[in-house]
Amino acid sequence: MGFSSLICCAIALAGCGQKSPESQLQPDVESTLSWTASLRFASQAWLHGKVSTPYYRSLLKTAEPQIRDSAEHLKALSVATPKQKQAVDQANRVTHYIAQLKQSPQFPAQKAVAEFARRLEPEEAGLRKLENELEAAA
Amino acid sequence: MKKILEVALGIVTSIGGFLDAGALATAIAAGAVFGYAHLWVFLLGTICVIFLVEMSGRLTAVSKHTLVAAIRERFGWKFHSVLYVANLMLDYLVLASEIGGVCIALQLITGISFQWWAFPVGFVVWLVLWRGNFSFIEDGVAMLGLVTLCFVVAAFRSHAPINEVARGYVPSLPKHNAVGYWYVAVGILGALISPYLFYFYSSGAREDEWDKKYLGANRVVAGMGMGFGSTVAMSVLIVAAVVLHPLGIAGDNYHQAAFMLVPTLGYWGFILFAMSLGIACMGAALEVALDCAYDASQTFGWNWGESKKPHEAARFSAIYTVFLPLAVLPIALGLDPLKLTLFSMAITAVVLPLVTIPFLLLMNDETYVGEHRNNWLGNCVVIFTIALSFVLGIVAIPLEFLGG
Repeated sequence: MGFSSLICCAIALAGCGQKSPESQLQPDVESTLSWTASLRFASQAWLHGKVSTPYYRSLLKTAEPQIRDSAEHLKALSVATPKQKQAVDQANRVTHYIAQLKQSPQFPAQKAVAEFARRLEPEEAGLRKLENELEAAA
Repeated sequence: MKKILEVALGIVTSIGGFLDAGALATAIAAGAVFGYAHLWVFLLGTICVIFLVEMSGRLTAVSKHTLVAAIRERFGWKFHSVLYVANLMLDYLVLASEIGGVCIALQLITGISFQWWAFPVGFVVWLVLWRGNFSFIEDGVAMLGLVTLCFVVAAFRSHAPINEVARGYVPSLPKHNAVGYWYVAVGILGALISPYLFYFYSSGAREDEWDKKYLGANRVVAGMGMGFGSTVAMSVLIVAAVVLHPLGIAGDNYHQAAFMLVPTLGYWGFILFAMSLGIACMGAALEVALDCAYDASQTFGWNWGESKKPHEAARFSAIYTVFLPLAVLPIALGLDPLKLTLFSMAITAVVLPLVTIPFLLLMNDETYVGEHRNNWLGNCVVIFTIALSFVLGIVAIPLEFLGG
């Protein structure tokens, strides 16, 4: 067997392997956690005047569709586990908070952003715990 | 005294010009997801690129040929045309990534979506190439690139655990996400050993009319310039590992990385990140666009030289004039610049053997380099690194895409 055939076999074997439900959930949970943590960190930085308002607006605009996509992808996965429901619920809550913040009068107002950052904290902690559980199980 | 000043300027411009979209994106992704684990890949890539850059300067100083001209002459038109197409494809991907990096920097500062900046940025790059000369592009923009030293300051101020940083320089296997780990490693090698870098360096040496008297200066500039330049890239990784990694931020979008200097440098950290990204990518975009024109002109035997007026090297100027709007298109259409960059760097690593093996053969050919042939160490380091990046690339890239 030639070198190239060996490489092709390795790729094919690795690619065809059956993924566990945890492995299937993991990328979207990681992505949701990544955006949620970014939003929480940037919100606190904005409150302390350490990032600009145009950037903060731009981050919210970029993060919202990414988290929504992850939620939809998680929902579409055929893995009926409580962890899937938990992940979808958390992602939906984060997008809901973003929508609420964007609709608040005089966005982005200090009080609304402070409230937004406060609401993200438990979501971030929950997603981190879920991610650790998925990683351990995978 | 003049020579010392030239060497010092060469080192400074190498440091300022080292960071580009590829090095920045892969360092952020590596640090954010895998902590300090990829530092050894940076070290390996840096050693390899020091050898390759020194070789390209030595080839030009001794043979008075640019790398492209020497390959065309030595291996014939048929082989060279394959190589030319591969280089053109890489240059296209890298140029689009660099333009995307400048656009994202402008989005971070203004809040206006990056797509809107694509054509204005492309126009500015073209204008600088049209109006400027080689020294302005090589020295001026690279001097501005010294702003990227803010990452070194931030790395020192971040109090990264020394033992974990030191452990990162020892090659290790990943504890999780092996495919992602090797994909990022391939990307780092592709970013550091970018073919445009040594093609550009060789053409620059010809523009500056190097001869054998420059061999010593070439060695110092390649070694110290690339070495210190790589320190900046490693600092980016360290800062990402300290700030983004513990939070679970993947750093796969520039918006997630924009605040990585904030904990150490405050509001100025945010501004300096955007400036570093914009200036580093602008400098690299100028070099890659020029490299396209160099490659084409030296391939087809046209008159070339950035220090010539556009009407003195009309086809040379026409190449970057046509190439720039084409490279702007994917960004204007909304392709994610950071994902494009990571993909481009991984593809670069796979194409590297095609680019570097003929180069190595030339460097061992007495007809071109006479008594200044490569020693065994240079050959071994380059062959080992290129073979590693190629094998990892053809395994990790398909797996990364199969895994989504």
